[in-house]
Amino acid sequence: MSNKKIIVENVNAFYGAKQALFDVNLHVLEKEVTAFIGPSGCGKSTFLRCLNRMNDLIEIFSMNGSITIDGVEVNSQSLDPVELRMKVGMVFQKPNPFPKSIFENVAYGLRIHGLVSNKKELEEIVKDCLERVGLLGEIKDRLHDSAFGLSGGQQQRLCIARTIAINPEVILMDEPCSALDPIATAKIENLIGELSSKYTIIIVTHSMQQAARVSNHTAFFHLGKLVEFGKTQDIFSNPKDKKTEDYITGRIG
Amino acid sequence: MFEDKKNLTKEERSKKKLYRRHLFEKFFKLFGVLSISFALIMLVALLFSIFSKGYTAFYTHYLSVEVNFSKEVLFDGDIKDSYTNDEIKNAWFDNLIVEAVKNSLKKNSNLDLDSVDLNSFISTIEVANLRNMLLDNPSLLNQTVQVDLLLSSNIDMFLKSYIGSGSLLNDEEIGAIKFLQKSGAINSRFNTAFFTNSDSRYPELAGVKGAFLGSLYTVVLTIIFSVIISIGAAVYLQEFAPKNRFVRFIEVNINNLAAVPSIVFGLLGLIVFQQFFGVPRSTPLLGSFILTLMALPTIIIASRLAMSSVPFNIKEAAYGMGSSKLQVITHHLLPISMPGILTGVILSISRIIGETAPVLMIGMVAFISTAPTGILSSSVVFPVQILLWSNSPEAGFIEKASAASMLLLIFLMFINWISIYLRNKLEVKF
Ligand SMILES: Nc1ncnc2c1ncn2[C@@H]1O[C@H](COP(=O)(O)OP(=O)(O)O)[C@@H](O)[C@H]1O
Ligand SMILES: [Mg+2]
Repeated sequence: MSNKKIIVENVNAFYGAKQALFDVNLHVLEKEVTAFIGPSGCGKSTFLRCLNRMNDLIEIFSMNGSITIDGVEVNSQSLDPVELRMKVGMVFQKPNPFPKSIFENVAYGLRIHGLVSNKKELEEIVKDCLERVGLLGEIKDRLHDSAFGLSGGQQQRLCIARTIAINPEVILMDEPCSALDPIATAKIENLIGELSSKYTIIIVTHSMQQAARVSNHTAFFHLGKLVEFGKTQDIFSNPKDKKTEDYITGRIG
Repeated sequence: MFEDKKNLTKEERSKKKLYRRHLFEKFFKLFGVLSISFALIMLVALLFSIFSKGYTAFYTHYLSVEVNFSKEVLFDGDIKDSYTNDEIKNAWFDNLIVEAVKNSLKKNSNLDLDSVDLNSFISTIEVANLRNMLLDNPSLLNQTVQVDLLLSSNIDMFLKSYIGSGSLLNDEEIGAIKFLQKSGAINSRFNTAFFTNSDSRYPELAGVKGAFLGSLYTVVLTIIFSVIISIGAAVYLQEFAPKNRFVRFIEVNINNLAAVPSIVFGLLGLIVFQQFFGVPRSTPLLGSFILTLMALPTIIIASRLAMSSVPFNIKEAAYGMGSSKLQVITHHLLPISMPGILTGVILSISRIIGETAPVLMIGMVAFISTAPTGILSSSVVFPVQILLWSNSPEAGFIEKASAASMLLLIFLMFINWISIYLRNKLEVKF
């Protein structure tokens, strides 16, 4: 049994006066894949973005409750969000590479955090990250071309490479395959499987099959509430809650 | 209201309506074509009138004569073996020139040289030129040399057919000019003085160098000040400012500022910068302060527009990577919005280069015959120079005004071309 990397207690989240999350309690195990599923608008993204304080960018957002990662309170005043986001990386729904070259996209995080001391080391790490997401072979001689020349799936893998370049401990993925075709999706799913040996991964998905394929644990959200949380196998084969059952059998959603 | 007078069927009615719609479309197209043609014709007429009047300023006429540095003429009968430099400096070079012109006219016996004002034929600058020639080489005394002398503006204007016979030149003088022309003594050359001289009381010596440098200093300073201030303001408003009523009030008033007439900025600059802060009058520094005020609103508005169109997901990606706010701004927001910012800069700079009213208010309108040596020396700017020249009675200055307008237009086109090039080069495609 691996230890609890993230512990969430009594989290309520608000956009202005509108409450988006109601009393969420949950834990995420280290070096496992945890999937968040639920109908659209149920607060999956909101919750995911609480974990690396991306909601700070939204002025009307507020939350209470406690989220700790390795025992450190995420929302504490003393924790710099920059530091937190180095540790908790994020991959977004729509591939969003920077308007720079492929190389620069991966090098960016290494540069701003001062993680490399010379050019050779930089190049090595960039190539290694591209290799790990299976991109290096495909774009070997286009390293310095614009990242916008890549296909959607390649762009998303580039975004993953960019995220793992700064060596985070947790990777948050918000529906990373929703804009991709089935082949690109399969590649990303395989990648998630490989990465889970090194990183704690949380993936939001609207596809239950995907959750079943990639995750060890699954959390089902509905209308801002965490309805059910448990081993993926159990959730899919033997849901305890009526709503979960309705959702995975396609009656709500 | 909808009752059917003619008992038309639905189809007939819709057909009729369709016909009218097509007709309206045709009218609209025709109207568009007419407007464009009107604008084009006006533009061509404008360019034609400026270019056809102005191009003559780029050449000027010289008279090729034999000058005899006669001691008799130069020193008014005081013949010595050698003269001191002071004596040479004070010698009668004007008489020397009159003699030279007279000699070249003497070959035509039927001219009444008494009614020809020989003094007014040659530009005054040639007195200095001949004096320097002799000072450099005193052995020229009592020697005869062939030199080209710059003709005065009146003669030049006559040769370029700007003025005919009339009050400025009498018939004898015109006969003299025609004779000189026929005998091949008059030649035309590229007018370098127009580019290397500053303003002058004599049209044939007036040039644009001072105005050009004045404009250059002013515009460069304006760009520096306005870009720094505008980007600061735009970034603050876009990324840092709280969204409250006070900030919205500021935003609205930045837009209002863009509509303030330039003369008001001139007045403001006069009172605030010159009288209160004591920035010296007539200087590029003062001019640039005022023009910066004018350029600010446009650049701020363009910059904010550019920044607000930077996709949110790029910023999100940067924050997600652990960029600080300042890094997001300097690494992503500013580079991506640079083409838009540049557009604002170019728009306002093209406008302020041609701006006259506010710089008139702070006295950049004086007659200044030396080029400015720095941002704190008195100078004029290009459009004011054009204004000054076009207000002069002499035809020579009117010609210069047209030529200067031409240069201003070419300069503006050049700036626009650079900006379009830069914008295309910096543009980020998503
Ligand atoms: N920036 C925002 N401002 C206001 N309300 C928001 C914002 N983002 C999300 N919401 C609301 O919060 C709720 C949860 O949204 P979200 O977390 O995006 O759901 P999901 O990712 O599960 O589809 C929705 O009702 C949505 O309308
Ligand atoms: Mg979502």
